[in-house]
Parts: sequence; structure tokens; C-alpha cells
Amino acid sequence: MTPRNRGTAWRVVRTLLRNRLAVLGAAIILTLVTAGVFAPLVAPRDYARQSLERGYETPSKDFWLGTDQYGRDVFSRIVYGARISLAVGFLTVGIGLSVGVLVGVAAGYYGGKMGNILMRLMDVLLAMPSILLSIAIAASLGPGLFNLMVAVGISSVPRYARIARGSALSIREMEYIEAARASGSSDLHILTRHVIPNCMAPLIVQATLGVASAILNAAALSFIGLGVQPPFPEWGAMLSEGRQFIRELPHLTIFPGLAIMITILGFNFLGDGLRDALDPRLRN
Amino acid sequence: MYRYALWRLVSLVPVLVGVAFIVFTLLYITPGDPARMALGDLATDEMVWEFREKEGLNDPFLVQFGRYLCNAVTKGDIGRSYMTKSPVLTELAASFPDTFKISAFAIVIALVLGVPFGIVSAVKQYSIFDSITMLFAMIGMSMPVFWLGLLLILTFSVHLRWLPSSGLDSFRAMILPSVTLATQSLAIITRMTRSSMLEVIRQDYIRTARAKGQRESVVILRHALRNALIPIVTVAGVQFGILLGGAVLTESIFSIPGVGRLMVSSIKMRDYPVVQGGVLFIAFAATFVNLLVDLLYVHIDPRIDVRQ
Repeated sequence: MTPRNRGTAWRVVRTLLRNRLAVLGAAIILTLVTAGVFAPLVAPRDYARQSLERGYETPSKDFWLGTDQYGRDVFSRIVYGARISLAVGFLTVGIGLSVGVLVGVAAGYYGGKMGNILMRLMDVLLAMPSILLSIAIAASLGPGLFNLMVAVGISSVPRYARIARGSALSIREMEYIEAARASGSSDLHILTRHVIPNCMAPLIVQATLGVASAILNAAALSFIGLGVQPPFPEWGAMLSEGRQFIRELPHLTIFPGLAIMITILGFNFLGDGLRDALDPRLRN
Repeated sequence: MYRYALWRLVSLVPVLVGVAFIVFTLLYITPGDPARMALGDLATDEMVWEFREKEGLNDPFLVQFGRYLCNAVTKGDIGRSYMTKSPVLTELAASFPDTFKISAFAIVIALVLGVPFGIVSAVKQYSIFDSITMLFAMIGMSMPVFWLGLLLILTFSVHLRWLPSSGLDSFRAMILPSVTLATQSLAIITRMTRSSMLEVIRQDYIRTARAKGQRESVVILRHALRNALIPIVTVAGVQFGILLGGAVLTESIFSIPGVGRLMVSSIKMRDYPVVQGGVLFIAFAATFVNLLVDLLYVHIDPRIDVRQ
């Protein structure tokens, strides 16, 4: 990291720390990540352990968030569910971001017919509401955690590709790119050392907000039976299972939904804060 | 203007062909033999082979796509349901009015509440009203639509017994699904209106209007809002498209027989032509709405020259 980059990073961190909502968002995410990583220590019971004689219990001292129809501890399942939801969120964004950056940077840096074709393909993907595209892909690939991540990841590619292309278009005209070319650097070197790193600021913001929408889309797919399958405690799937008992046991619906909402809220707070810190012109 | 509308309509063709290509490819790569699915497990290999030949399923991929596209354009045929054997388009056309009804009502709710909230938030920037509105907008954006729907059912149908929890046969029945569907768009439109208004009310011409002694309401509504409207209309158009797609979950929760519920039940029965047809249908509808929004720009802002 050059001294100039270090200075920029510090400025971003300082601005972030002054933004109370962004700090709250970061704290929520940190708590969830900690709970997910140390789930066996945090959760009082195993997420799949059934005790049928203690099924259908409302929240109590023994079971803080109650039990489901199989007597499984809802709190433990939500804690373990953080692992799945966060993994889905981060890996999905990883897929969307890496493919999107490759497509966008190639289209922006090289331009020409190939760039045009790539971006028209992105326009086509953007023409479909992302949840619908995820449903179509997941329906084709079949249910399952990996397919879920691929489906949600692919549907997010166009958003990253557009941002990356926009940045790459302006960066390729910069003098330092011309200097790199003049000094004999290869395209691969220019792309990986100069273009992609300089595209990252808006992409980081989009990725943070993207984790939120990925978790939301993944939960929605699980809710309609296209995502994670039982007995894995994905929050959307838990909501879907609890739905049939909504009249008698509303806690089976309320707590997994609350977990989803708090997680999304955390990423949205942090994403907004990052956007303000990285681009103060967008503060309003 | 008409020439511009026609040109925009024509320029949609490649996008729609692209959407059809993606949808068809997804259907093509779906595991399982469509012939076997259509005929059932009891069909003999000869019957399956005959079906594949008759339906052209043994042809190369591009030939099949060409035929699919040709049938879609000339006959409106986008396949048949494996379960009911009836044309997918007929099933979609029967369920689309319900989807459109709740989506249209939802966007009206989002606009009627979101625009005024956004305006007041911008005018009273950093006030308590602004902070509370922005906090609620953030919560609205973060709330899973399927969870909100269930909470509304729990509160207004199960506990208070004020509103029905399913169907769409009366105005009262439309309230819960439309509010559920509207929440996220309401949050986004409120935020967009606020930020768009904040950009505009700092402009010199707004200061000039105030200096001329015009009433604040006139300054805000006639001078500021009108100029802030383009991004708001853009977002509203995009949101309407998203609502048509997002209705998948809402319809499933409130048992509304729309395109979304048809798709969800088709997913469960692995009736893929209906799923893919539904995606195609809603993508077409969303693209068409975006075209209408583009055409609306010219009316909102006369400075936009369509000849360019």
C-alpha cells in the first residue's frame, strides 16, 4: 500500500467511525460473524437435535426463542443459520463481483464490438427483475446451497459489470495508463495493477449493499423451496417451515424474520456509510 | 414523438430476444427429459421417442430456439404446461390481471406516500421528522417482503380480524398484499425523492424564486419538485417492474392466484415451461413499463429533445 493509499484508507475509516449508523451496522455484522464462526460455543444446543416431547414450546428460560415442531431449539438454529446466510451473502457477492468485474473491465478497457456485445448481454440480464432471474436459474439448476449461490450470484453480475465498465472507461484515458503502456506493460499487468484497483471504490459500496440483497434473495428462494433444504437452518427456510404454525406459534415466524431484517439492516447501514465515506458527493 | 416511440419499441426487440434466449437456455439445461415429464413415468421408450420427434426435441439447440421464438412471435405459443397440458400463455394471461392489480395498487401507495414524505424530509433536512422517516425507510428496505406479509396477517387477520388474509375478491382483501408489496418501493421512492429534492433546492433558480417572494409551497411544488421528478419517475418505473416480479412471494403468502403463485406452484411440481414462461412474461411486462417511463420523460421535462 502506497503512503497515498494509506492516507485515503485512513480518511475513509475516520469518516466511517464518525457515522453512528455505519458503526452500528459494522457492530451488527461483527456480532453475526462472531456468532456464526463460534456457533457451537454460542448456541446452547445442536441445530438438528430433536426432542419431540419438547416440541411446540414458546420462548422460555430453557429455550430462549422457543422450539419448533420437532423440538429443535429455535435460538440455536438461528445462530447456526447466521453461518449459512452470511456464507451465502459473501460467496454470492464473490461470484457476482468477480464475474462482473471481469466482464465490465474487459468491456470498458477494450471496448469495441466485444465490449458492446458483453454489455448488451448485461442489459438483457438487467431487463429481468433480479429475484425472477434468480428463480429461473435456481429452478433450472435445482434446489441446494451451491445452486442457490450460483443463481443469486449470476443475477447480480450485471450490476457489478456496469459499475466496473463505467470506471474502466474513464480510467483507460488516464495519463498513468498511457505511461504504463509506453513503458511496455502488458494489458494483463495494466488491468490487474492499475485498472481493477482503481475501479474498486464504487464496487466495494455496491458489494456491501449487494451482500444485503443477496441474503434477502437467497432467503426468498429458500422460502419458496428453491434454496437450502431442511434440516439446514437457513433463515428463509425456517420462516417457510414456521409459516404453517403462524396462528399458534408465531415465534417460529417472527424470530427468523427478525434475524434476516437485522442482518440486512446492518449491511445497509454500513453500505450507506461506506458510500458517504468513499464519495462524499453522494451523501444526500 | 411517435417516431421516437416507434424507434424505442423496435430497440426493445433485441433485448426481448435476449431474454427469450436466456429463458430458453435455462429450460434447455434443466435436468430431466421434457418428453418423459410430459408423458409421465408409464410411457414406453417408443412413446418418448415419438414425442421427442413430434415436438422437435431431437433437433439441435439453435434450431429449437429458432422454432420457440418463431412460435412465440407468430402464434403466441411459449410451450405447454406439463401438468395441465394447456398452453402456458393461456395460463399466464388468466393469472396476470391479479398480479397487475396488486402491483399497480402497490406502486400507487408507494408514490402517494413516498413522494410527500421525501419532499418534507428534504425541506426539513436533519429535523426529527427527517431522521425518523429515513430510519423507517431503511427498515422498509431491509424488511423481507415475505416476513412482512406474515406479520401483517398475524396482526390484522389473526389478532385484530380487520382484514382478510387471502384472496383478492374485494378492496379490503387487496389492502394487505398491496401494502406488503409496496413497503420496499415506498422506502426507495422516499429516499430517492429526498435526495433528488435536496439536489434541486440548492439551485440558484430556487433562491431566485424565493427572492421574488413566491410562497414556499409554490417554490417547492412548482419549481423544485418538477425539476426533481425525472429520477423519481425513473425509480418508480423500475420499482413497478420489480413489483411485478416481487409479487411472486406476496401472492404465495396471500394465496392470490396471480402469475407469481402460478410460478411457485409450478416450481414445486417441476412444471418448468410455466416457470420459464412466467419469467419471460414478467420480464416483457417490466421492459414495457420501462419504455413507457422513457416516453413519459418528454412530458415531464420539455428540455429533453427526442430527436437527439
